[in-house]
This record gives sequence, C-alpha cells and structure tokens, in this order.
Amino acid sequence: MNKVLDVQNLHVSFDTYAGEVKAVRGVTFSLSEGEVLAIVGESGCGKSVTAQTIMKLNPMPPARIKEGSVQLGEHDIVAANEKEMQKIRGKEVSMIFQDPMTCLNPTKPVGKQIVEAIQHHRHLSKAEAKAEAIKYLSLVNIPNPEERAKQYPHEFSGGMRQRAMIAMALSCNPKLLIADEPTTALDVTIQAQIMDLLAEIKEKTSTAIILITHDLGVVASMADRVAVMYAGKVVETGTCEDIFYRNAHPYTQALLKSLPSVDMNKTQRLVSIPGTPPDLLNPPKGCGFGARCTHCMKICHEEQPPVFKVGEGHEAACWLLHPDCPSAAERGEPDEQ
Amino acid sequence: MTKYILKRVGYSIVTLFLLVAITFFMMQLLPGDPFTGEKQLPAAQMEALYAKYGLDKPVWQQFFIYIGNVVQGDLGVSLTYNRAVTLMITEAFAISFDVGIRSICFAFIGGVLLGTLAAIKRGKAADTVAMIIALLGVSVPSFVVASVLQYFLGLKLYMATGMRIFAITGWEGFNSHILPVVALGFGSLATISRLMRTSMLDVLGQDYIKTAKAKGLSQSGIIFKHAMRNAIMPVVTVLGPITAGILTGGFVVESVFGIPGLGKYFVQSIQGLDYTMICGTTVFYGAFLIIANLVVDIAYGLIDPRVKLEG
Repeated sequence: MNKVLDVQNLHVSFDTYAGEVKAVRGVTFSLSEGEVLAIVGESGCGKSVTAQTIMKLNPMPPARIKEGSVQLGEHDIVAANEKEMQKIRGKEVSMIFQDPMTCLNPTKPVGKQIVEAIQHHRHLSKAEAKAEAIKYLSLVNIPNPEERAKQYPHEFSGGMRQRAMIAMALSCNPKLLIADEPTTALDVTIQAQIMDLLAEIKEKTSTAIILITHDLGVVASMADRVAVMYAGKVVETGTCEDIFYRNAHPYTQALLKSLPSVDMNKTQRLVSIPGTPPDLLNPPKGCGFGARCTHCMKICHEEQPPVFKVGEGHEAACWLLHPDCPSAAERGEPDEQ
Repeated sequence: MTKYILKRVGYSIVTLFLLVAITFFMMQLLPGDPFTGEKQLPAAQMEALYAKYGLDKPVWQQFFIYIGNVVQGDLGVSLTYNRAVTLMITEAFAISFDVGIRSICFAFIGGVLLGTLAAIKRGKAADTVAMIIALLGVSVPSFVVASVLQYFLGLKLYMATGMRIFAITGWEGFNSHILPVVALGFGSLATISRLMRTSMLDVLGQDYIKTAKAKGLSQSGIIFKHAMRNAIMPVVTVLGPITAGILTGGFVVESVFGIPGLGKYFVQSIQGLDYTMICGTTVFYGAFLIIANLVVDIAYGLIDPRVKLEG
C-alpha cells in the first residue's frame, strides 16, 4: 500500500513570553492509502497541534517546527514555503474542524464556499465547479443540494454544517483528511450520523483519515489503527484490538478505565486519572506520565522510556516493557490481572 | 421589507414633528428677534414687519401655521435674505453634498484600508504608523487640519515648487477639492480605521478564516474574500452617524476654505435669529440624518444575510 503520510520524530514548540512550550515532543506515525488512524488523548496533549502542523495551519511564529520531518505524498511539508503550502492545503490534505457553527463564513452561501475550494485547485469553469459542489453536497447526504447550496450557513443545522464542511474538505479529492474532533460540538444522535458518514467516505474513497478525538467509543467503531498521545508524545500505537484488549501502556489502561460503561451502577462515581498532565513549559526529564502512573519506578523519572515493540505493528513507550523490568510481584504491586 | 420601511417612515415623521416642535419653541425662548439690529427701527416699522411675517400672532398659532406650511413643502421665506428657504437650501446643499460625499468616500475607503493594513501588520511598524495617524485624526479638530493643510500643501508647496498643485480656497476644479475633502474626512477616516482594525483582528481570529486557509487560499484571498465583508459590518453601522456628522459638521471646513455651502447659512441663521432659516435647516438636516440611518440599516441587511428586516 502507498504511504500517504509519514511523520518522523516531529517536535513543535511555541515561543511564548513565559518560555518555550514544547507542545509536540517527538511524534512518529505514518498512514497508508484508505487507512484511518485515530489519535486519542486528553486535552492539551498535542493532538491538534500535530494535525495542524501537517497543514502548517498554526501561525508561525509563535509556533515552530523544531525537529523532524513530515512527508505528505511527494511533498516535504517542513521545507515547503507558504506558496507551496497553498497548493497543498485543500488539495492534498484537508481538514474538518471541531465546531461547525463557526467554521463556515456567515456571509457567503454554503455552495459558494465549496465552489471556491474547487475552483482554487481544479481548473473548472464556474458552472462545472457548481455542479461538482452540488455533487459533493449530495454525497454527504444533504437533501435538495441545489437549493441548499444557495443558502447561508445560518440556515443550516449544526449537523448539516458539519456535512457541508466534509463536502468542502472532500471536494478536491484529498489524499488525506484530518478530522479534528469532528463530533465534539454536536449532540449524540448527530455525532453518530457524522461518524457513519465518515465511515461511508472511508468505504467509497481511498482517502486516508486522521481522526482526532477523545471519544474512545468513536475510535473503536472506525479506526484501523490508534495512536495514544500524552504530553506531546505518542505513548502507544497499535490496531484497535491492540489498544482495547492488549494495551501495554499504563496511560492507555488508565484512559480505558475512565470510560463509563453501560452496566455501571448509577450511583457509582466515574473513574478519573488522578493528577494533571505535566506543564509543557518544563516537561519532566523522564516519562511524562510518571507522576500519575501507579506503576512508576525510579527509572521513569530519570530517563525517557524508549519505544518497545509489543506485537506486530503494536508499540508502546514504557519502561515496564523493558526485558530487565521486574515483574509486578517483584515490584511489590498487587497483580491486577 | 416593505412593511419595515413603511414602519420606519412612520417613525421618521413623528421624529421630524418633534424635532420641528422643539426647535420652534426653543428658538422663541432666545432673547431678541430677527429685526433687532445695530440700528433701532421705528416701532411702526417693526410692527409692520411682524405682521408681514406673521410674528404678531400668538406663538402656538405661528407654530400651527408653520407646521401647515412645512407639510405642503413650504419652509417659508428667510427673514434675513428674503428668499425662499427651500430654494436656498437646495442651492447651497448641492455644494455641501458634493464636498460631503467626497469626504465620506475618502474616509470610508481610506479608513477601511488603513485599518485592515494595521490589523494584518499587527504589532509591526505599519500598525504603529497607522494608529498614530488614526490618533491624530481623532484628536485634532478639522479646522486645525484644514489650516495646516492650507499652510503646508497650499502655500509652502506652492512657494517651493512654483506649481499650484492644491488650491487654497474655493470649490472649482479638482485641485481645489482635495484639501477640503481631506480636512473634512480626516476625523472620520481615523474613527473608521480604528474600528476596522479592531473588527478585522476579531474576524481574523474566527474559525472560518482557518477554514479558508485550510482550503489553500492565500493571505490576500482570505482578507478580501472572507474577512473584509464580515469585518466591515461595524463600520457600516457607524456610517450613518458619520455621514450625518460630515454633512452637517461641514460648516467649519466650509468657512475655512470659503466654500459656499449650507453650513454657512446654518451658522448665520442662528446668529441672526432667522427663524424660518433655523427651522428649515434643522428640518432638512434632521430628515437627512433619518434617511441616512435608514439607508444604512437596509445596507446592513444586504451585507449580512443573517439580518432580516422585519416590521
């Protein structure tokens, strides 16, 4: 399979008055054609920064790519200048944002906003572009697309606006679609519809999708592979099964434990991970999760854990996986299994 | 839409009536009368004049006669010039309007561009320069701007180059238009550019600007196709009052540049207690202001599709 995106050891920092905020600290992942990669993690762990860096959407400065490479098809994103990026954005890679209520220009008809994207990248006449826009609106299941294209965003409901955003994102056949928490701002029934739509797109096109979310339920239904991020690093990657059933990193385990289940007692409190993520102005020397980890050892505070191979395509960065690591009993912890 | 406009016109008539009534009665409170001059006229002559202009009747009667005439489109005869007020206003306003419209265009286009530039170059030298210009415009009164322009661009430049690039006074030919238009519009340009800068900065932080960028549009494409129309809305809102301000406040600049506009009559009529002229110009300016605001409200609906004008 063709590799669409290859991110190697990406470091992104923000220069602020308080100092350098190391938002992304060495992220590596890749994506093949038609694959869906989910990036999960709590707020502020660098998911969105990683995604926006792929399109160079975050304003630079203050943002800065410190290290690493991002290869999108044949394009080297790190080296690309603004002019080249304008050709790549929307055509090679496009993005759906979190809040559809504010993502469309309120003073332009929805159809026109899609036509704009089409005309910018594909050399079509106005009439052809219009026909294409209507085609994509019907692809995302918007009824009466001809009529709807003439309407303004405020005449659309939230779910329909997100559909229109998806139509716009798909209108130039991008190789990669980044969905940055596409359902967070929508209510639950609409969330399901949007996820169904994304699944449908995955079937119909060869577009690879990066799905950024903190909703693990969404991940399970759709992702081929999952990358769990914490404090600017990918702590575990693997297939959906790897992450849900054979997870190796304590953070992944803690995250899954905090997921409320259907058969939970109503009076039971929701489980949360104690503590807060580290301050990325001064990230810890060792493992970012160390301070909150129940299995934390001396070495975890001393040195960054390397990435260990857990299984085929399943990797985790945790000292527990080191061959010399003592077993739980030897560390004096109650065995959880 | 029709219902909305009709309703607004209805309100406007009530407003105008109140305006006339208040002006009329406040005017009567002023000491003296139009015929008290440096020379004392004989009592018989004064009475004859009062009778001629109907000033011998009780005030409330005068008021209803006046209102009756205004409804028929007759603003009376100027007590100073002995000419029809309507005619004088039409003549003089044609010139004032010309000066005003040019100033408004100058202020609007200049202000929008300056504000946009400042917003794009936020924190850089261009921003600082633009905002210093705006600060000067807001704080320096128009007659000072007018005199400074006359002195440096009208006089000094002429002396230095020997060419009459800008005429110092009058309203004939393009080279005489530039200085008064700049002097009159400068304050509004400053207000508009400050407003535009704030509004543009706000719009540039919106999500749909990120969407436009993610589509692959260039910076200028984003500014002109997406940001401008949204950012300009607050400016359009203040355009009504600004228009009124420029058109009614033009008399200072008009007198500095010796332009025969309506402002001159407006000031003179108050000084000379020319009752009909005071009322006439007030009614005229009032009506103009009301219409300007109505036009702005309708324009607002055209720019922002979310605004529905309902009655």
